[in-house]
Amino acid sequence: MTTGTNPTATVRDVTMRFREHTALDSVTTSFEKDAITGLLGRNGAGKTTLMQLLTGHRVPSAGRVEVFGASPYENDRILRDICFVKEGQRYPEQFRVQDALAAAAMVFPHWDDDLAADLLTDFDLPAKRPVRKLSRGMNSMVGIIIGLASRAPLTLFDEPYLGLDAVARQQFYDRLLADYAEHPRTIVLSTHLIEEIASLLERVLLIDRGRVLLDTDAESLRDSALTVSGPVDKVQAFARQHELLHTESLGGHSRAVVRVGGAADRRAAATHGLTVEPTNLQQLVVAMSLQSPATRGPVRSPLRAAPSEDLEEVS
Amino acid sequence: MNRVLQAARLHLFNPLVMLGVPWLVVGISFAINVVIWHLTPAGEDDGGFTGGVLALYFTVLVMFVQSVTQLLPFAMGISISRRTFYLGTALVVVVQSLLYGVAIAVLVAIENGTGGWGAGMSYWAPGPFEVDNFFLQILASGVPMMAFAFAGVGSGIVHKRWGQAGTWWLIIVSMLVFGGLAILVTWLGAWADIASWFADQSIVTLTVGIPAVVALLSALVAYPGIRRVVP
Repeated sequence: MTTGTNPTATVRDVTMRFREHTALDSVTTSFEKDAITGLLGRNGAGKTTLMQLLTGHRVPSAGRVEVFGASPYENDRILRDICFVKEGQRYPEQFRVQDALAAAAMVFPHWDDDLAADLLTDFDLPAKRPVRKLSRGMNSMVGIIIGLASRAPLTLFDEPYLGLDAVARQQFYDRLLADYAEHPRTIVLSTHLIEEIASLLERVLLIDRGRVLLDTDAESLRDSALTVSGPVDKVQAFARQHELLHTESLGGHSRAVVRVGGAADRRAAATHGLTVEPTNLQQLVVAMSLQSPATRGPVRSPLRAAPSEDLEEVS
Repeated sequence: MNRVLQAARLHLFNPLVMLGVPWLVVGISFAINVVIWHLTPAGEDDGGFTGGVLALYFTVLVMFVQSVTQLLPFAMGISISRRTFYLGTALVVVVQSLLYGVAIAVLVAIENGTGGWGAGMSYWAPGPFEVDNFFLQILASGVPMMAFAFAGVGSGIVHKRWGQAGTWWLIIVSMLVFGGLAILVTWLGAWADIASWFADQSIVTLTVGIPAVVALLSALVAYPGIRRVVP
């Protein structure tokens, strides 16, 4: 696939201030072309704000946002290639499902009618029912159909499946992956159901309190952390040599999420007599988000200060 | 299809509501007026004046408030820029107002041909809004419609941009401005001057010129408001 040299979207030193708080604080990142990026973070971390900036729905207080090489704000030439599916999208009162789809078909140049019809059948959506009379989950399905069938070169899903059941979510992931394989495009997916989408992601962008915590490819991220468990003192000793992200202890037994350098560290953990498991993305994100900002230190190496006292406190 | 035309097209996805409701409302108003005028000697008393047709103008105003509050969030959701949405909406306002102007001009012609619906009623172009030329009648009826429609678009934008509080402020500030003007004019004893100024204006200025200025001003004032709407 393409490298990061020609990204679909770039965000340079972007700050977004609202009257009472700063939603984004000097964020710099880019979204790789034809990749699926997971935009992760807690509630209020700034995910939606970042997506609103990428789609020209907001203008940054400072910094520059570029999509396809130009600012998206009020730029129809850029906007027609962007599809932004968001939680709680409002539809006009009298619009039926088929009206919403017809409107989307009219404005998105890469729209695929067959795909939309397929999805409509898959999701078992009543085309002639007004959107406002749909249940929460069915309402989300309309957005998902628009997002997928638009085949927009930049497609953003912001918490797209409020109220969707597990089956429909799986259908969404399967369809997304299948269509993405045939028609590669840049996809940004924000969600709290991290484990469900972990296997889809090629890139991970983790933000917290308006700052970038992690901006990396999913593969190396998976290799960058370990969950080790064993006797407290041994876990503690191992953790001291690395970056401790999170730990929990029960009796004399302890379990810790640790950032590591690579396979050598993995072997070292095993020789310490510790049980080693891979850390899944969700654990890693939770662990990183739970670190207090004070212990994070500089952004480049956010987890340097290993709080070894934590181990003693909890045990 | 051009992006602006696409935005205009969004307004016509449910033509029955968009076009049907105003005519249903004014149709009912018209029917009530016809019945009353046939039952009473209203036509003989006061020169056949009724303001019933205003129902059409006000319904159109409300329709455009809703067009903005309902369609703008969706239009932005499918990646139409605010400017394009605004231009598409303005296009709908202008074309629809002129078509309504044609419809009203036809109705005025019928009204005059039937002796005011057999009751001496001047419903579709009351008082000074009746002009003696079919094509001028289109403008005399259509351009005020444009002013009402743009006022609706502007109110809708205020609502989207500044929320419910903004709408109340718009109402309060308008009341203060117009109330203040009324006090000022009364204090200066200038009502007679204003009346004679209006009386000096030609029918065209009154029915086409002034409404056109109001429409244009509303359109220009509303535009900056839409630029920072967040859906």
